[in-house]
Amino acid sequence: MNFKENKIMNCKNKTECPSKENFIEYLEGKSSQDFIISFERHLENCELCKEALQGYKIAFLLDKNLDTPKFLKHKKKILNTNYFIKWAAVFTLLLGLIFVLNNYKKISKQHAKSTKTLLHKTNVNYWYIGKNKKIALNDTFIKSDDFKKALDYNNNKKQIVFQVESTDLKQVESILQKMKSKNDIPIYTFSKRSMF
Amino acid sequence: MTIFLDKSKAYREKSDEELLFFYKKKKDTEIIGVFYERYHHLVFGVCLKYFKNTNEANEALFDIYSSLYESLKKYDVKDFKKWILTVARNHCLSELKRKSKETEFNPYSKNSPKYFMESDEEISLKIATEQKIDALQLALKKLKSEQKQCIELFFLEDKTYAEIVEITAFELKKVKSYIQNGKRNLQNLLNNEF
Repeated sequence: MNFKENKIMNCKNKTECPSKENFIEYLEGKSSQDFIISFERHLENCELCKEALQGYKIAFLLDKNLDTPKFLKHKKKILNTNYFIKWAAVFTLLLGLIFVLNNYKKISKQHAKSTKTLLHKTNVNYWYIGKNKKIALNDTFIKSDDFKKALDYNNNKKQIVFQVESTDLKQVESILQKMKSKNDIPIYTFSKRSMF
Repeated sequence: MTIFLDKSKAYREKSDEELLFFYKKKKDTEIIGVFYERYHHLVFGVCLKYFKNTNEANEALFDIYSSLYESLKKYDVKDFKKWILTVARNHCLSELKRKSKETEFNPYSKNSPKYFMESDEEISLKIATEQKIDALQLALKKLKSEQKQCIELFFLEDKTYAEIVEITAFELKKVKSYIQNGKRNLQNLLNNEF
């Protein structure tokens, strides 16, 4: 039996490798015997999955709560939620979105004020590239004309925290390269994208 | 927008070999996106194995996929899975090597506040990890022998369920339950510890 026959393959994509959800099932050991057998049969022939599993096991041991790594578990929680709760959540989100859009200016001003205080204390410059490819520096959106000026802004040699939510890796890479060429100080990148 | 989605959907239907062929031909960056969807969780797992923390693994994953745009044009890749595994391994190893060199030959003087800030962060992370490992080892000793054996084999010696069944002669059901209960007990022990 392989993943295809067992209908637990990564259905969204044409690959026989287990999906994130399959890895969770395996690591949590709550799955059926058939599943475990087919998962391990796949591991025998797939070095990539075998090594990824080793990484996940290490992450499990080093996790604060000895839990399945959160980047794997997050999606499962959403998948397990029943439809009613899902739709209720979507509805609430929509309401929230309407509220945010209505009060956008008010909220962004407040947000900027609070994080600026924090940034002042921690002595970093906080760059952000959103999903919509908009770029912000210290909570202020930057127009494309002002982007070059913003790059030169780091006169105080503050450390740079760089949050990337955009999926346009080319854009992100080119910005990072420009930053690196202008600064010889550490640049810390991170992302909250749902990839993990 | 519709065209964009259709194109992406069409690529998802293709096998790795077909995608590699199309990328060579069309240089369409959408294809890299499809590879990302398929394998990012696996490449991330590989990076975790080397870096042992999610932040660095995250950065490495980003770097690896960013480099694909050019490297897939350069090399004649036949088996994407095997190739990306090699790329990921090499990237992680070279990053680890680079980082260890940076710590050895830090260009900043010891008087620089930056020097201290970075070292402190690194040291505290290492100490936290070491403390965690020490606490785990202590907690493991307190588990029932079957649970201890199964947890050690599964997580520390990286055995599969089937291999554990073979080594211990327990039934698969039992192995699963020892691991689950062992995990729960370990967690309780560690929570009491801190």
